[in-house]
Amino acid sequence: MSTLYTEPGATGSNGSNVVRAILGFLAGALGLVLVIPAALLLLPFWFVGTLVEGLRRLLAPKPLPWHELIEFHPRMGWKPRPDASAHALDYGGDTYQFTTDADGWRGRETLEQSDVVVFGDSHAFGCGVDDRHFFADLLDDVRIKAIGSPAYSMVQPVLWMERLAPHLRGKLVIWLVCLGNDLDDSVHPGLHEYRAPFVRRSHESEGWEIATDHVDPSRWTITSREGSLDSLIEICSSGYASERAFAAADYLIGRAHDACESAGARLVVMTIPELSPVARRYLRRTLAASAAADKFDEGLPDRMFGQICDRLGVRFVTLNDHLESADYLENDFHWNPRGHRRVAELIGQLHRDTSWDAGATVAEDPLNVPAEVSG
Amino acid sequence: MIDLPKPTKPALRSFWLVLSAGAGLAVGLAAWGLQAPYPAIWGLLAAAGASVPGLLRPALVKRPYEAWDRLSRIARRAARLWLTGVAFLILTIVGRLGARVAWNAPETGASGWTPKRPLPAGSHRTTSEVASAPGFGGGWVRTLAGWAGHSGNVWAWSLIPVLALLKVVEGKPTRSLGGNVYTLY
Repeated sequence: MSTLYTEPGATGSNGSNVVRAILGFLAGALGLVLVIPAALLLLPFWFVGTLVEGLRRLLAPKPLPWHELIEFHPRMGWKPRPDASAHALDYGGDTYQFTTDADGWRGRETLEQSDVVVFGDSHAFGCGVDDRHFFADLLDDVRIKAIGSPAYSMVQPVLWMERLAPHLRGKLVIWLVCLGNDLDDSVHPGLHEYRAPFVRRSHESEGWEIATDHVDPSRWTITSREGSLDSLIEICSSGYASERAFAAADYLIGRAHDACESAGARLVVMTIPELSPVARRYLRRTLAASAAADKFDEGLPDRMFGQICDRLGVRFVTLNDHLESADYLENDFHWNPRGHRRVAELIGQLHRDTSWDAGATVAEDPLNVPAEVSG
Repeated sequence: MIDLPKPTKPALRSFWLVLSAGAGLAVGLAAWGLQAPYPAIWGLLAAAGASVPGLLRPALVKRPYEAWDRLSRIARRAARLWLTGVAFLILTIVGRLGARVAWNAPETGASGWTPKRPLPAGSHRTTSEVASAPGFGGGWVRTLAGWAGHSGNVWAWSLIPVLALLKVVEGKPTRSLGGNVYTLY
């Protein structure tokens, strides 16, 4: 084995080191001349890149980290921080500006003054858009209050409906359910390090129950949630995970229905499809590597929700019929301003539509028309 | 910073501002070259006018932004190839003409193994003699320069400018979709 460098202590004359040093410096001088073309090639890109990064740091508002956006809640696990006025980061790295009220909910209206109360997860919170585009603040003739938080499953909205039931009398209650992750998250006792209420088969009876005993501020260390589209693919394929998810959803919709009925409110379950470009890319990629790809039926959740709602006498609207990919942010899973506008108009339409009763089914629902027709 | 940051709205706006400033400079220089009155005003007007669409509708900037980013990656790859070649050229010159040990296996049948001495405690970052050289742990330039001086391999200093430029063109990891897509949604 030969080596290019001299080991300290190895035999060798000072003369050879001097020769090598001279050759090294001559080669180095030649090298310096030869790097000039590369440096010239890179210079404009380095110059523009450095300026863009410097300006970006100046222009971009400083976002609030996730843990400062929320606060611990002893039953729900967490809720948005009250009286916040800040920026948060979306999945694509862009910031959006948001404001919360004294209870931590976004939007101008108060619960008491509202005509419509929307429960849900990050879509109900309005992740990804500034306050001026938030669906709850877009209509002049319909007052909408949104009760939603990033990372909520289907469980927290039900618990909030039950807790706020005395304030829901005579109102239209809309429950936004994101099909991409809410179904799966509802059966998990934690979201990363946060403890969350979840739904499980009851130990004492045949049915289901919501478990909240484990919820406290301490760190949850057992991560069973995948947080990927594999869970959605499993749920959209026949099998145990699918049956379990829909049985849990059935139980939760039943509880929401009971809460709203006893409060004198009208409930609408509104499912949110995964139409964002980033979600479609993920889905294609995950399906290509999934063993369940041949059984994957993306329409299954909506059909199951339709059946459940039909049986319980709850009105069901799938946003799959009203939204399209262009209504979603390009690098995030949430709606863009156009999507918020469409959802706001749909909510207004539902509020103004007094013709329907609680027993309307998916098939006879006049609002279930394709997006291109509904405009 | 050769690659552009993620194409967020502030990044798109910044990119357009930089391009608009470049366009303004070009117009100002052209006006000055043509001996037009108030060339600086012409340049400022051009920069301000050009910046409006990108500032109001950053989405419009996405295509030129991505095109520039692609070009910068191509340039970076080409520069990296070229600089690696230059580094090997230096090594070849020093090794072929200046090494006292032959590059090929010894003809006499003697062992080509080089003796190694025990390394000092705390040198876990590397198993080479570099760990015992002055300047170790103070950045790669100090480490390499210290080792080269300490071990009598002063010729290695000639590699530093090339390696420094190579480090600049190394680039960031590619932007890929993460595994946990519903992190907090």
